[in-house]
Amino acid sequence: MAATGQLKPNQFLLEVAGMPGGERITACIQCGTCSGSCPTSYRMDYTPRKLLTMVRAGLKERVLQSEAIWLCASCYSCSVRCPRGVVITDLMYALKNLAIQQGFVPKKAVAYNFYSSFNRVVEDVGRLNERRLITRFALKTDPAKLIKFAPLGLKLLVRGRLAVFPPSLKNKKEFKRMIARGKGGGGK
Amino acid sequence: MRYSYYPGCSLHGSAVDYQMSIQACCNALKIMLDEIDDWNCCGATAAASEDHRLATLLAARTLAKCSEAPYPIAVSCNACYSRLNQVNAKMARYPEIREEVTAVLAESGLMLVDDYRVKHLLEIFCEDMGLDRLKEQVSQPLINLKVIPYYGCQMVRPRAYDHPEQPTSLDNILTTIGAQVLPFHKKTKCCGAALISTNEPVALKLVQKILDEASQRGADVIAVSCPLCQMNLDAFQDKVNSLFGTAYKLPVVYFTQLVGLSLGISVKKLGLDRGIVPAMPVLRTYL
Repeated sequence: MAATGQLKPNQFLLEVAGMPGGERITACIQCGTCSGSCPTSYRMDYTPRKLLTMVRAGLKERVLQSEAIWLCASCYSCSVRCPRGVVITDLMYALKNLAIQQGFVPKKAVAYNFYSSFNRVVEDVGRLNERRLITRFALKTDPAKLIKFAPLGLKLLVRGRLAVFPPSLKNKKEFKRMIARGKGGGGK
Repeated sequence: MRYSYYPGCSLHGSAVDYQMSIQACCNALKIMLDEIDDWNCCGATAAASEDHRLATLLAARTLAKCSEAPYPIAVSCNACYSRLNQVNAKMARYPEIREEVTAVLAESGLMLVDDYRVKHLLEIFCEDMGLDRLKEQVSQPLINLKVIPYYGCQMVRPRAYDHPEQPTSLDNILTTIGAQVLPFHKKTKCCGAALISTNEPVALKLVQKILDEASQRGADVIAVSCPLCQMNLDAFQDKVNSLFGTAYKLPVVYFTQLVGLSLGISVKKLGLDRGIVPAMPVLRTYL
């Protein structure tokens, strides 16, 4: 007898299902609760429901190049409502990880650069420094952002809401060594 | 009551007013917070987006810093709370990840214990201290102050001690200090989080929806428990107003600032003069 509705595993599906949080992807019944619960799906090129089925269809390039994965705000509405226990938010993280690792993200992509700027600052001193984050993010994407952020920065400054001393751990060197040992291959 | 305390990066920066009010309230309520020695950033959504190993390691290092203290971990920021909780659960669920992280931490002289109790301040106030005890300490009840309880996402999802969509802990705290808590459909709807930096129009629309319901319900203030929610709802109100042609002027305060006020703590000590939309005009009557 011919295969009856059995999904034929493809390489991409196996890759995604092998990431932490990706295991349940084959349990999806395409009910669309995720897309209906998502506060940003109205702006996505592919809604979460579509992305899930595209992964299962092996449409790697289209999934990893999609803008949708960068519109996920991590609100977990989809995840708590999914009747099949798929943690879609974690799947979105897995897709972002893969898109970065495998070079599907354009160099000046805004969301990617925000996250990577955040991470590079944290890796450097152990804590987030808001001023360094904004500066790095602007220089990586569009330096005009520095001017755009200035009014907000000023408002925070006059209210004493910008750290006077840049935050840092006691032993930055040791921290950096630890990060270098433990991080994956994604960060640049 | 004593805790290992994880403030998170914002509380040493843009949310210094949250930190001030937490310190003041906890001193008054005899909740002892031992700041975790040399804690690091939880990684928020940024680390998880780029590299799940980095994300796990960042949260795990901070957890490991608490291994020797016999106290639960108190967290003030929703994102930090979510990260620490999730990584704690992840290491229990995936032994291979736990093993990997354990080895990396060991080289830095750190070790993990089996399980960590990670608690948000809302839980500590409601469950550990108890609202009866809070009520006894209230000297200046905020009678007639109309407050919107806004929880945000990561306080309640993906898993927390309160309900993921209809939580009540913040409502109950605000009722206990005498405020009039308004019903609020969007209490756990997303504020846009990091999208405010990566896709501003999408985030502003989410902020607008929250401000709109709050203002239609006649709120005096919105109470929050997360520095990022506070920033998005407060500091971006002028942008929302110019983009949507609205005229919102809703102060967004931390719940600990309102609790502090009800305990008779001064405005200065609570950092209540630090919001972008000034809160003092509506709070003056309670001084």
